[in-house]
Amino acid sequence: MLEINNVRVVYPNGNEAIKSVSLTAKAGELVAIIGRSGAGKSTLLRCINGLQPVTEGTITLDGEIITAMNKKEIQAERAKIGFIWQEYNLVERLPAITNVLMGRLAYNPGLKSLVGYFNRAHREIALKSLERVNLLHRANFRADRLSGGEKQRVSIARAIAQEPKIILADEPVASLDPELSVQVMSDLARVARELGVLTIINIHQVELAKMFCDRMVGIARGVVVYDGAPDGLSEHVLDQIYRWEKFLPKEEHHHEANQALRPDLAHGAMSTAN
Amino acid sequence: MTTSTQTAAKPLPAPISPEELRARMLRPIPTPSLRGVLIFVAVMTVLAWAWSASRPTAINRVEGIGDILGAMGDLIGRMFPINFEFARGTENTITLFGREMVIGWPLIITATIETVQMAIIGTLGAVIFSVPVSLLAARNTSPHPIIYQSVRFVLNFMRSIPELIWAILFVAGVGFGAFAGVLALVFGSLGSLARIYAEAIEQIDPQQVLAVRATGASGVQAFVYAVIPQALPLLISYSIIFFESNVRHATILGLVGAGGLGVKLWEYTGLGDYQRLMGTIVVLVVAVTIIDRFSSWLRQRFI
Repeated sequence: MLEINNVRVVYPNGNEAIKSVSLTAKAGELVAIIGRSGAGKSTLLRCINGLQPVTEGTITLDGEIITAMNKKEIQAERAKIGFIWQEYNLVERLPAITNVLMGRLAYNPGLKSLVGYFNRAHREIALKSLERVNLLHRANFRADRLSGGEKQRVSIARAIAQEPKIILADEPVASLDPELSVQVMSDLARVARELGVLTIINIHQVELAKMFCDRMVGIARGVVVYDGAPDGLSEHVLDQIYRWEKFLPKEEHHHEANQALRPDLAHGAMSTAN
Repeated sequence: MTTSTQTAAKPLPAPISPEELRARMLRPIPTPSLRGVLIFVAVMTVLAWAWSASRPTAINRVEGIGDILGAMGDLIGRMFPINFEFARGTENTITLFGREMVIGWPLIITATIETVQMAIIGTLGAVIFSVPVSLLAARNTSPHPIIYQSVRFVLNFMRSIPELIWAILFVAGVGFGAFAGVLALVFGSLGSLARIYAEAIEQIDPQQVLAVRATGASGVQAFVYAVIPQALPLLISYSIIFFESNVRHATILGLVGAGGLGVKLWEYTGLGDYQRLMGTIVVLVVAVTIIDRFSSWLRQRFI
């Protein structure tokens, strides 16, 4: 159970990335977060695993208050939070299986992990994770020899090897072509359902999100503007998420739009840049 | 990586008319600018000043190019015929098929081998010290900016001391022989090796490290699983380059009595025995060439 209560995030440079977000999600749910670049999606995910401190509000995961934890407690908590990155972020020079075993590092502390020792149980979990994403045959391939789609599936395997309470995926298919995107999304959704893990996916491709997720959350200018079933995403709602300038009073239009957007994203509402 | 691009505000040159620009571009030889002339005069002045201390003086007994060539020719003449030093260096008795055999290597070979042995141990010592030092000297792994700055300062200081000076210090400290030479190689390499190790560590992709940290792994685990694998090819490559250059340095160290082939070079030079000196140099060139080839082959396998 993830509870986000009135979270607000202001960066040291004064930018307000998240104005106020509240959200509750249960185990087994597949939640897609949609919104323009700079809407606060990435920031929200980074808050949940403690990479980004919040300015106000609380985030609670299975009763534990993440926003109140010190560095050591957050590190321990991250063992239970899988994170999937847009650019995969595998250690390129190591084999796929070692990358998956890294999901076990937090459970294998001390000197033995530093010399590469993982006991049979850890290795079983890693192999099983690779098997779940149908990549067992690539176990001993170096990560830099895998294709983009395979890399992202290895990173899904790394996340589930953590036996996580929650999986956070930040634009998991933004670096893949449309066909691979569907494949990787379906793998991620299938694995998440099989394991019954709460999964939150930041994603730009609305159609793809509708195909695989039970619930859509639309964020615009740091606030939730839609939270509900994929079917409820009408043109009007999508306009509120992606083309909200329309709804501003005429004279405010220009001024507000420029203020809310990052200057580098001032053109093109549907930019795919992260 | 998102680093802000900072371009220093440089004043633009004064605008010129398109006709003027066109005329200038069409000139067969560009008109020298005042700035160009000033730079030329300044460079010439520095060169003249440097030559004033470098030119041959009365003590060199050479007047003109012909004299220099004659002197060199005379020296080269005294190097031939080349004489290889075949006196036995070491003798070992081995038993082969029930018969005792005495195997002895020529002195020149044992001295060359000693040089390579010194280079191997000297480089290994430098590598062992450089790994932890470079962690403190790399911006992304150093625990504190003050530590980073002070380690860099010490490394710069060490780098400004040539191997030969280290050798003189260690010969004075631990006595003549190869061990003093090895210590000279370790400390002579440490300053540069730790610095380029640190630069290799600074070049890694921080996102891969962040991803490992995000699984809840500790800092040390992330270092072993994400920093080291990324930096390793460069670390190995640099270490091999240092081994190569340490073989060359090790030959020089003998000049101050710190073991290796240089001891022989020094001896023959002192005796004026240029034929044996040439023989030693030939062996040295062959050995260094073989090692260069070997190590560049080895390095290619790690990239």
